[in-house]
Amino acid sequence: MRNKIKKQLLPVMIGLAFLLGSSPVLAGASKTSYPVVFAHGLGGMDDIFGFYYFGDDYGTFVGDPCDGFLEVTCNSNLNSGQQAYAAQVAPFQTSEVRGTQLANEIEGYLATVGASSVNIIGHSQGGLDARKAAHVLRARTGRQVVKVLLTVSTPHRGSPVAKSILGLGSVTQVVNFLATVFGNIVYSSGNDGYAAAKQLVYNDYTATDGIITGTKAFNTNYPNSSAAVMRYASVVTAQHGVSLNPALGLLKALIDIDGDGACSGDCDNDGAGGKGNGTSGDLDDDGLVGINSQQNGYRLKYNSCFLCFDSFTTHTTLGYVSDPNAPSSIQMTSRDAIVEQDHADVIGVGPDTFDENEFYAAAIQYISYYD
Amino acid sequence: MRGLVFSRQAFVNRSKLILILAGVGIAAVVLFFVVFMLLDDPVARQFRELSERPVPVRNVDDEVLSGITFTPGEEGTVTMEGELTFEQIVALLRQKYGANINHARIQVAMLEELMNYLKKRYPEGWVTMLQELLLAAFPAKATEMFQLSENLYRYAKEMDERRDLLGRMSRQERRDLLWQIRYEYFGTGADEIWESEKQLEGVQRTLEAIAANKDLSLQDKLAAYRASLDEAFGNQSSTTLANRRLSFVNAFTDAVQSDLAALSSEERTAELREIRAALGMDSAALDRWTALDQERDQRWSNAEIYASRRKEIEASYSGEEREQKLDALRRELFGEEAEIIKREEASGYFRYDKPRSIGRE
Repeated sequence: MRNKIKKQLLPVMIGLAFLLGSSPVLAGASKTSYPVVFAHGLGGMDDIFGFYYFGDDYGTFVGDPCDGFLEVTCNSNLNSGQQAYAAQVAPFQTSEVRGTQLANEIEGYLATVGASSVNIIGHSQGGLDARKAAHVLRARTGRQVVKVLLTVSTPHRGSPVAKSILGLGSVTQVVNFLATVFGNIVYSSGNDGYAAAKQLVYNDYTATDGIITGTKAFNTNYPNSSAAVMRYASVVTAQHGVSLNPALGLLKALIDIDGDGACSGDCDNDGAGGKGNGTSGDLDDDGLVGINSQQNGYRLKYNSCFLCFDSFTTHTTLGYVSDPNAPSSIQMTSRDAIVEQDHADVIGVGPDTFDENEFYAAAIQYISYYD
Repeated sequence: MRGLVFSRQAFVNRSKLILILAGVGIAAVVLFFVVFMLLDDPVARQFRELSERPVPVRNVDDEVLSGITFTPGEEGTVTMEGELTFEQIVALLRQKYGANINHARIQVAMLEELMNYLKKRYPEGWVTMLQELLLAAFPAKATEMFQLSENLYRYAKEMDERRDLLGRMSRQERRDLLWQIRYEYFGTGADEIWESEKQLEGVQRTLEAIAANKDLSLQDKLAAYRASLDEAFGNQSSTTLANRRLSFVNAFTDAVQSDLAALSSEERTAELREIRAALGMDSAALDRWTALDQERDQRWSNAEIYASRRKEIEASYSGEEREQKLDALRRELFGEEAEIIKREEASGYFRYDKPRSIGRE
């Protein structure tokens, strides 16, 4: 009903914008009905408040609207009343741990602002955490708390890089390597870099340790469910090797992912569901995650627009991934609607030429249409 | 005769030597030039040359905006029809960025959008086009912004080269080096460009001092924290502060966990309410938090019961019977969340087998 009203009002709003002398394409995102919670990925959170991860390259949180007179340290693409929150969970942990922490964060946020529901944008592992958090919140409240769950570059079916890191040797060696890539925060209390890496491998990494890890089991435990989430959508990122952010160089040196082939399970045993097409140097991964691992729910298409407002639209022909463990062949291999950026470009690791403010504002606009 | 032959030979030898030396000299100059050209970044060279000899200024009237057509697209989107002309780009730049163009942060935002577009559209001549657009859109600021563009370009290159090194540093070392590089390229303008970061750094230092201080009372710590927030965000708009309120509360409760843990349950409840109120939550939010705290206290109380009864079950039963008993116990204590807790345990995560993070769970 709400969507119907929005659709009917759109031409009127465009006309009004002209009459008021402003350009409708510069107007930016509509306000969402429910606040947007940002869920960060693995590591990288060594600032106390967590605003930088989902920041532009200058430290401004992409969820901060401009609502002050001539305010500039804000995202001018957002509605001035937009509510958004940068959640913080343990930088290095499994999504079992981080998902519960995220649910606690959302509970606290709902109490703070008095909202009944939220939308979540999860980057990388943050997308897995969000999927679990939605189930926890459903179990605690008996209702659907999460409206739109949008994942960006999320390894729903694991990452070969995680398996390569684990292959470096002992727990200490693995954690030390993570420290060289992500910083010393991996050593701080409450973190477990080794367990985090095991979470991001598709199959159970060690059959003899008495516990079950990996994204395959996680997907079985926390399936897409309309009882927990109203709409699942995802943004798939990939970039050719030469354009990769140097921050990913150490990881890329471990393995160049060949992530654009389909099969059931992890048939080539590289640590991620699906297989490759035999060529690892093509547009098949974003430096950390293959394209065959990233779609969950609908795949979104990013429509970039110079000097006007960017947008996301649903890629309807690729269809909906309802079971994260069983996408179709085309959903694993299609290069349609890939955002050509690497894993770190779409977050506040700068400098780069990517406009994080507009990208996330466009995501919020998409959410506002459905929430 | 012999002398004449000898001196002719000497002359020939000397000429050869001069020719060889001249050849070597020319080769060295050519080599130097080639190496210089290879090492000299062509983009940096374009910036340098255009700074010395700028392109002519073109006058553009904002009326051209009326020629841009918009149409509503799918899922609430609006699309712009056709390709923008030079004049329309200029007019849109003025409309989008003109109001705040004196602020370095806005200049950077505009330059990034322009450079990103122009590099794709004019891979060879984007620097020239950039200058032409800046001169047409903001003639009075164009020289300053063109210099800023060059600095941004050089800064990005240096950051790419130093990224590995920065990644291996401690937080403080990394911050120090980052600011050193920023001041090198942008002077005091860096403070304006990275204003958001600057705001947070003072607060962050206060929090680190609070976490390390064993002598200060909780009240004094809260007062110091509030003072640092007022200093950093005194002029910030209400929505921005409302969006950050929980982050501010969490950061403080994280820093004073040991102080909170030392309080009785009643004192802790009162203290948490006071902290949240002091950091801007209204009475309705405080009441919601009180209800949530009580719910969470109940969860942790159930978790204690669960821990002791789980031990008993594990000691007394085995196999399928043990699993059934544990399932029943989890259902009794955790209701709908029982199944999730069971899965967590299967993955090796026992959420209540660790100290409680006060105020967060």
